Amino acid sequence: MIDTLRLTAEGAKKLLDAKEVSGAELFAAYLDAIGERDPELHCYLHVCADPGGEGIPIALKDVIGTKGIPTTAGSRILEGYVPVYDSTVAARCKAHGLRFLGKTNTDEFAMGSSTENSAYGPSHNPWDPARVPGGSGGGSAAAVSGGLAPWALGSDTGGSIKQPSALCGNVGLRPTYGTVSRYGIVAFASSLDQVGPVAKTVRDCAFLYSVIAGRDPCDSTTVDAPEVVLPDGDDLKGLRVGIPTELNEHEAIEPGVRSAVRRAIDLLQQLGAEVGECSLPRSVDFGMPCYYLIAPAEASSNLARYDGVRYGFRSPHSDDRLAMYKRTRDEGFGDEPKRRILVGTYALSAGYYDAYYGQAQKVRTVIAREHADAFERFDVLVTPTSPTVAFELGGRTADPLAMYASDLLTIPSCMAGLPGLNVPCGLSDGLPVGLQLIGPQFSENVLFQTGHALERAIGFDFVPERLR
Amino acid sequence: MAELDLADVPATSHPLDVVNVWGEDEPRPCLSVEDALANAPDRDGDFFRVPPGGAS
Repeated sequence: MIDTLRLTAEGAKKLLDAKEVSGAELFAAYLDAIGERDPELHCYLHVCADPGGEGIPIALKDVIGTKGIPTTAGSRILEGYVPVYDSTVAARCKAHGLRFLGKTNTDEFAMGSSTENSAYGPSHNPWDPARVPGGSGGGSAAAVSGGLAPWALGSDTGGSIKQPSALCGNVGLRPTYGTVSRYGIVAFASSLDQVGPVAKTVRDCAFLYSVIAGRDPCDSTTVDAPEVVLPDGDDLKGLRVGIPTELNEHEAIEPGVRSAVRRAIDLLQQLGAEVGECSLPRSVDFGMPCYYLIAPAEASSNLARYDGVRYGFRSPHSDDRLAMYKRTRDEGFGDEPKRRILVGTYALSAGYYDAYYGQAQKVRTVIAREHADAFERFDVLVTPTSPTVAFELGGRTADPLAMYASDLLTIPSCMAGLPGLNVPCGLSDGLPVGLQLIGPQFSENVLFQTGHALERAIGFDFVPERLR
Repeated sequence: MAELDLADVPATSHPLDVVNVWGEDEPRPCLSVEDALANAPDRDGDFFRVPPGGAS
């Protein structure tokens, strides 16, 4: 009997290597779990048949292009779209023998923090199905925490890997910008988008990152990443840990989140780390407005390709070409992409470009410099990942600004292209709290080492209490 | 953000300090016409087909 709720990818590999289970049995165990729990959790938009082989199964967020497997990005405008080529990350997974369990739910075009913007209905949090799993990659996070996949890939623009990982009790990495190829990924905001792993443990997360990272001739923004060292041991002697005041004492942070993160910081000290305070005075206050100009501006450009001509949905309600474009977009896009296309187009329009988009790009420099200054004194920064634990479905859908605030603490480091790792650090009201480790560019190994030591010291049980 | 005086701050368009990336100009395999048209809502032979007319 394979307990998919508890089995890590590392554990699965040991079972396969020792021939205690066959590849077919392992894949079937996950399909059984999907059959049992996905009707309630709705993590998957598409489930695959076993392609055969002895590799570890994996789930992919539905913005990741997969040859011969539908890829919708949670949007009606891509309903029925079946890519004719693999994204580089999908190809790398296949080359490593990983087998695709299916495509996971996401807010439409990865725009959202709860999966409630998915055109195919929301996913539910395995810890409490009345609550959201976070977003946009809530399907991947809920699948991993609900035992419907040993690990998964997500994508992160302003927090879409880190925040759902926090809300579902997973380890999730947003890699340094440029270390993972974006070739074949449905684009949202190209200067921010990064694909990354979601897993049950830091070691699984590090291993999956090593599978997907590296320069890709098909994506000229990629660079060579340092070789991944799988973390071991729990000595953090000499590690300099910075606690940015503004990201730890913000009024939006719930008391239960604050105290769980505080306890984890005490543990870091006990493990030998030197902890000190620092300040990122403009990154929090200006991170949100900066993000909500730059990301929609880039999205408004990227989403112009959905015109009903070459692929995807075309409105049947028009015999006239120009009307066809308009109706296709009106009927194909949901409210959130429309909102961002409007904001982005406005910010880029002649006469407003310098005041909005141009100014936001300068603020982006300010945010990057503030972080660089902090890394003169510290190796890693620690903050809560999400200001709150998982919120109830419908709780923030009426107010876009309340929904956007879910990413208050994850956005600043994303603007600077920095890697961030979510590590579960305890429970508040029976729901997972996530801690965010931020490092300088290309410091993934330091984040893994720190996260692994912390994970062992905390002893967080990643199986949702109601499913134990 | 408009309140900040950033006249001397350069803009960041991209988070990495990389400049031009060059590749060899060599022919490589690419999508076949059939693959390129596989997801087309409508086609006419080797072309994408769209409704006629409309304002330019």
